[in-house]
Amino acid sequence: MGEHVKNVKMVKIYIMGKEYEVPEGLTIMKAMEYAGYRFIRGIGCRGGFCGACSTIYRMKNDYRLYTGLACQTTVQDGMYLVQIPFTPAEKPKYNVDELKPTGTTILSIFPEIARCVACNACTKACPQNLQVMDAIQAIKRGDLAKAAELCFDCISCGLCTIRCPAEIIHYHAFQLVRRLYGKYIAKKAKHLEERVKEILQGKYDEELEKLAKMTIDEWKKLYEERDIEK
Amino acid sequence: MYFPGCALKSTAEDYEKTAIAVAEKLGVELLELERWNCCGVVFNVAADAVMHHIAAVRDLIRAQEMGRKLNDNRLVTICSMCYSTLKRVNQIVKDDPEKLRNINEFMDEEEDYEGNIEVIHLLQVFKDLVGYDKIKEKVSRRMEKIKAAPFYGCALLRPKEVSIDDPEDPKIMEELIEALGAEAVKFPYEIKCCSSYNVIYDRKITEETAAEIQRAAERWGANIIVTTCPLCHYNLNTSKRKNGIPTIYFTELMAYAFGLEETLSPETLKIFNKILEEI
Amino acid sequence: MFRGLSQKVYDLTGINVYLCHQCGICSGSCPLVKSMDIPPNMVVRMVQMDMNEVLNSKTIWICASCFNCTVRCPRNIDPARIINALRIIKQREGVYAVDLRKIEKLEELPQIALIAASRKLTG
Ligand code: SF4
Ligand code: SF4
Ligand code: SF4
Ligand code: SF4
Ligand code: FES
Repeated sequence: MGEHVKNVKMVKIYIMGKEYEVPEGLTIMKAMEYAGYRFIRGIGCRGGFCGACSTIYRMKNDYRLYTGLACQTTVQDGMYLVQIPFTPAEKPKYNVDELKPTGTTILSIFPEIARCVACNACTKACPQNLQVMDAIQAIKRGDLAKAAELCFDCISCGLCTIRCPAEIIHYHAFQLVRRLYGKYIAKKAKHLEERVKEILQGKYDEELEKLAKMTIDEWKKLYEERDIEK
Repeated sequence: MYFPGCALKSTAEDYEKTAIAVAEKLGVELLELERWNCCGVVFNVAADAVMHHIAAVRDLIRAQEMGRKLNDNRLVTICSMCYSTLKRVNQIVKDDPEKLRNINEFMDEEEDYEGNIEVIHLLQVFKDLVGYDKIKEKVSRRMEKIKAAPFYGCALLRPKEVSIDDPEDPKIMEELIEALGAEAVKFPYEIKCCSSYNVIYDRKITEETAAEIQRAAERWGANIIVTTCPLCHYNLNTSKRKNGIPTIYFTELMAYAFGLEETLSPETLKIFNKILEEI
Repeated sequence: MFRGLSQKVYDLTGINVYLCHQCGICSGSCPLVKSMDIPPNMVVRMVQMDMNEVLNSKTIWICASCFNCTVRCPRNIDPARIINALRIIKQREGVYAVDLRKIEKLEELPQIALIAASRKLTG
């Protein structure tokens, strides 16, 4: 081990069954990199937003199967972990403009939602701590506003989806719920409407034109000097 | 406390609306469970089918939590299928402590279900808690032209252990219909099955069954069929017969009798108006 | 006493199919018997005989679990549960009777139809 880890407490973790000693306090992602893994897949934003780094783990003397985002969860001594790939599913085709905002619309695209047995495995799996089962149940009974509210923070990591005995594809269904909710149910944001109108009227054409002609360095400068909303 | 179920929140909205309105008129406050999930609709008969009881037990736990606050252990169901599923699962876990332990252990994120909730159907509330005399008092409309055939279907009556009445010769809806001042038409298919989920397996079976039931009710002189189940309601109305008599929920009949037209959908009102015109 | 199929049914339900004396009351009470390929009493008989063919009948999917037969069976052996057990045997093999993605008029069906069907007709 290199000089820089002196004085740092080490913890023992098991990655796909192999034992490693890594410094305490690292995220799973950094710990894996420390252990010599190089991520090609299963990584994205490193900030807890993209949902690419789903990880499952167990602790010593505990039957529970925990889940987490590798970029957010810190390692603990005695962690048995593995990164899991995204739970695959065909992307359904639909046109939000032609759909009615009802529960049966969603059920007709994702009828497997009817198979939910309320086991709650999805809720336990969600690294965002969403009430996933309640959201599915809300869809089942047609309460889209409730469902959209419950799944607003879903990052489509697919961890619930791989745990579901009813083979429901939560992340696609939730996306549809939010789309329907946004289009038909949620109150329209007035400032957004106004801004879109302004754009369509060409109010920003000139500025955009200017941006398009800038070099990368000029962009960077502009970005660094921007007003940050507080 | 009452458990609405999925159907009442969507395709059978009218059922929920009228149920709450007529109950209120009779002085019964139906409080929706604060949090609930679909009960699973059908009961899984396999001895080892623990997984399929979880949904229902989770609802019973929710009722237990809320019941503690309200000091009430009665969970009223409105949809027949919810009634049957919740009631049967409740009974199974009460009779089989081993199974209950199993289920409680599986749901390690919830409090344990203690087996104290009592599942009842709204019809029982009206019969036993309110009483038909009180119902009679609230009727504000002449109903004698309405000849209503009660259709019980399966879930309220069978199997025996969960039946709300005599499974071969039920009277509970008949008595209610008469209390409302309408004519109750007892007909031989009142306990038949509407073919249930065959509407998905093979729609033709359902259409034929619905037609048979309608035809029988008409022959016995009914001009409307009254049901407690959103699936019977849907299935019976799928019959392809021209001018077949319509099927409505018993709470819609009550709402009409009590003069609560504002809670009825325009389609249901049209049904009533048509009956009154024809005669 | 039990061998193949009758043993499996016993394991799933605790029902002794040999109590059936083939009176046929179940089939006479069954509202859907005319749509079935094998009437309920025959299903019970086939289980008595450990005839696995019964698992391929349409009856096991058509039965609506209405429990008419159950209420009336003089031997109290619950044919509805026997039929349901056969269905569960198939479901556990991964056989689904319907494809949920191909249901007609799904938008107008009440949820309970779909949920009941997915529990009874898919695994
Ligand atoms: S709801 Fe499912 S897909 Fe969305 S964040 Fe939670 S576990 Fe991931
Ligand atoms: S994991 Fe699947 S079956 Fe279990 S509660 Fe969640 S959605 Fe329902
Ligand atoms: S009613 Fe009972 S005893 Fe008679 S044939 Fe059917 S299962 Fe056998
Ligand atoms: S439970 Fe099944 S076999 Fe028995 S009477 Fe009903 S449909 Fe027929
Ligand atoms: S890398 Fe994007 S959420 Fe972890």
